[in-house]
Amino acid sequence: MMRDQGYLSDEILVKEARDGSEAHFNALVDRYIGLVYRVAFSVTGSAHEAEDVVQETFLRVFRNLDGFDPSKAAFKTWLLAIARNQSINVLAHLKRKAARFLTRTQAAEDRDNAEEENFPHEMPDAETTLLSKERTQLVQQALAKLPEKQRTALMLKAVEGLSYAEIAEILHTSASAVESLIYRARSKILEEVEQ
Amino acid sequence: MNCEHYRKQLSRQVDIDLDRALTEELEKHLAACPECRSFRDGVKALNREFHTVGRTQPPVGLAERVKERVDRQRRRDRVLLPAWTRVPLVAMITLAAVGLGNLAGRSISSMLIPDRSEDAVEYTLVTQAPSFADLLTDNGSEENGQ
Ligand SMILES: [Zn+2]
Repeated sequence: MMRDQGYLSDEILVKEARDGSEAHFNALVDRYIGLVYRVAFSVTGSAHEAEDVVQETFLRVFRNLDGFDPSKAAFKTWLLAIARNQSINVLAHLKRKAARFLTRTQAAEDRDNAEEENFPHEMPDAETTLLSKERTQLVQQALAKLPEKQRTALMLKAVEGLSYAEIAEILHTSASAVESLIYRARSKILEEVEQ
Repeated sequence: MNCEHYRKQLSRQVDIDLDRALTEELEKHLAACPECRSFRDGVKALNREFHTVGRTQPPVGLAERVKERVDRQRRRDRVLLPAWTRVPLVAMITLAAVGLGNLAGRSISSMLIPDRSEDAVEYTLVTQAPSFADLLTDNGSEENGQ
């Protein structure tokens, strides 16, 4: 099924996928599933929800490939903008659910904190060998407390190595706004971790 | 200049100007300001941590499930979509045929229902694809395809 599409550029894969090639679409899935999953996980804070977001995102990409305009955006930023948008919808839903749950009973609060699938973050499959587990946990908790936009901007920069310009496209903002989102994210995390 | 000004520069330097030497002004400030030095070291440490911790991999089998689901959608499109696009297609073919005066000697049905109509039909469909902006403002209300 999948042959050697791995070396082809995004542009070519998209073009062939548009023309109906299943193999080329699948190569795009293979290329970007990790990135989409991490964005979804970073935004929603839930491994389970991230899986759903990944499914929905690629389905949406498939349905809308013909509406994608390569002259306006790179495929990668277009894809990640869709993934983030899907993730934000899920996050809003999770928050509403949590809010309803909290108003129902006061006693639920502690339980909710303990059980909440959403936050605090815990990265699955984390390699914690080089770091103290405790510090890693502090960083993740601080990360989870950040506003979504700051968290996503920082993640796309520090983990994925995207440029400010690419991140700006995904977040619908300017490169200088991205720079300050990332700066504020770092400041807050360091404040929390090092106090 | 206040510390925030320098820390913004440091944050940026870690991201994009790694190879470039710090400005003299920033160097001077760092030499004199332990808080900003600690910020710089903290940002570098955070970046190392993100590199180690952040590269979470998707669960095994997820890629296959995504491909299968997209493939189900692809098959469904092939079955469902031609029904409502057949009219313009038929009209086009008929016009072309009439225009060429090429009807003689061939069965009309063989021209109207070509074997490979599915592929052709799929391309005529997607004139209503949403724009980039539509996609992003869409709240996911479209049918799930499941
Ligand atoms: Zn300072």
